[in-house]
Amino acid sequence: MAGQFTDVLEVLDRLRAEGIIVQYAVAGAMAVNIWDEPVATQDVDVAVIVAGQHHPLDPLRPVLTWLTDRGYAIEGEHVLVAGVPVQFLPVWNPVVTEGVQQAAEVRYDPADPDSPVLRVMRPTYLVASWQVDPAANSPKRRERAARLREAGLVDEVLLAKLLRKVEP
Amino acid sequence: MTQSADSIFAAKRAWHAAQRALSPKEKVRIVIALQHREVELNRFRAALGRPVRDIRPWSTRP
Repeated sequence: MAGQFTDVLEVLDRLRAEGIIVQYAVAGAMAVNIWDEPVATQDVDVAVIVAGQHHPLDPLRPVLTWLTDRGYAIEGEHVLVAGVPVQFLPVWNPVVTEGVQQAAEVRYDPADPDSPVLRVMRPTYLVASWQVDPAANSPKRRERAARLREAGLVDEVLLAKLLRKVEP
Repeated sequence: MTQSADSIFAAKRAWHAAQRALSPKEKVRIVIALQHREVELNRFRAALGRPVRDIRPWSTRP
């Protein structure tokens, strides 16, 4: 039987409650979908600040160990949670770290007062994270950035400030 | 621009704004529906010799 998308949110909350991660934020295409119009996407990217000391070459090990110990399957770069491929991404620069810390908390189903809350990276931080990382500055992400800008969701003053933080 | 063109563009803007304002739950429902649509489209793409999009619908409920 299929799971529910809210199971993904519960897993993220448990990772935080059990001290495996300090904080998380949904990023990537799914975050753009939350802010803008929905389009088909393959997975859910989740940027995480992993708690405690961890090996720099294997920063996600505590997260992956916690998940596999509980029976979640790893498929390539994804963990399958309730039928949803979730890609955990350790924060990779100060802008992304701040983006996770400053994420918006959005109720999943506003019609249901018991609905869980998900943390979503704000549009300006999404655009900044793509612009500061040459590998992420792809046509697909430039198109996503354009969608967020067209929707009036990007704070250009904040964006310039964020980009200055990671200037070489 | 004619009045009718103005109203058509206004209606289009309103539609996009309404889509944008949907709840995350509703957007997840649409994402899953679009994933299934992509699978259908892939059959046509393959038949036409076009590149297919790598996508697998989520086995989950919104």
